[in-house]
Amino acid sequence: MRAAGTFTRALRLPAGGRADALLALLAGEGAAEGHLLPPDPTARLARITREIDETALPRALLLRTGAVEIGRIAVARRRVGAVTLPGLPDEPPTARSLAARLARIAAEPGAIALTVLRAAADPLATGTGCPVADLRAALASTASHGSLERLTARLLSRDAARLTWAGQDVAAQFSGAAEWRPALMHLSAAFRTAPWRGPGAEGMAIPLSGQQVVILARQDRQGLAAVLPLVFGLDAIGAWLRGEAS
Amino acid sequence: MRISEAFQAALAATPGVDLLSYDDLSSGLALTACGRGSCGREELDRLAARAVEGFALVAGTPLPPGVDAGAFGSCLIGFGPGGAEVYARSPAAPGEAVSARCVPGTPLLPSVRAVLGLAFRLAEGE
Repeated sequence: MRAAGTFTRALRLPAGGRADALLALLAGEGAAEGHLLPPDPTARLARITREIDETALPRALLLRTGAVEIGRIAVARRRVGAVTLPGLPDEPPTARSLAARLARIAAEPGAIALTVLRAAADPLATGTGCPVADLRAALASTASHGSLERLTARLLSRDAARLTWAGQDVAAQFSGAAEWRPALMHLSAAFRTAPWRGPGAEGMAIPLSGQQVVILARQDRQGLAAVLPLVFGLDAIGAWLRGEAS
Repeated sequence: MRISEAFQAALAATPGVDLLSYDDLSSGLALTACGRGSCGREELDRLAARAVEGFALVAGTPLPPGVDAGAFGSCLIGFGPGGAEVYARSPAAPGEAVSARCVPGTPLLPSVRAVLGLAFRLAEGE
């Protein structure tokens, strides 16, 4: 009986509006302090998926850089229902599409804070949502098989000219036959600034003739434009798509 | 030969392609399509939108001497972890394109040649 009385007293809350305000605070965004994710995108993804794996009750994982929300993940029962990015329409929550969105969040510059919020309602209908194991598999698949590093390892052995860049605001580095510089600068200018669909590398091959091809490729803020022999370049892309070793 | 017949024949002769669409580049929409299995409207319009993006990317490129500026940009191959796609158009009909989705694991060059040839034949009214 004594224990029951103590419990009753502990639950006694301030009357009226103060109680409502306190409950709203506990249920709302002020209930948890954000903690910073590691700066490395791969480590960030590992931290986010671990948080998902440890979340059984309905929660929203809020990701912010400073005061700006860059993403929100609806989670319950160790499954992801949606990854919402500001300004982007929702899309069917497949493992691949969810992984792509998480990779975009993880690639954001600056310090990212993760805050776990209580969800007002369960975001997942029974049997829906992407299990964290599927999400990890999708992330691993795109990171290893679809990486720019693996593609460039193939391409940059027989290029006649190349332009590489390692950041949106960083000047590109050119090498090779000077006659190709204006063309590669022009092609890369628009390619660098177009939205990256990630995760993994993506690109465009533009045959110049029956002998040569320009290949543009990028992943997040890194990329290259190169002039290559046509058959070699297309074979290299094919091998990269098949996940063959360099 | 009607476009749908040309597409059926090209699809049958090109094992590296499983979806072909005929796109209007000014609207970014697929006008007609032919594929193995089902192909949703969203997928067709996504292909057409990528074709528009690709051809816009190459417009106005300053080319070195010796490169055929008229033929440059007739054919593009988009690629990513999800696979490869080919977009082709003839200089005779620059507002129309043939887009193709490649079968994973198949060589790209035969598909590129087939799609480019189809685009040229359609533009010439064959």
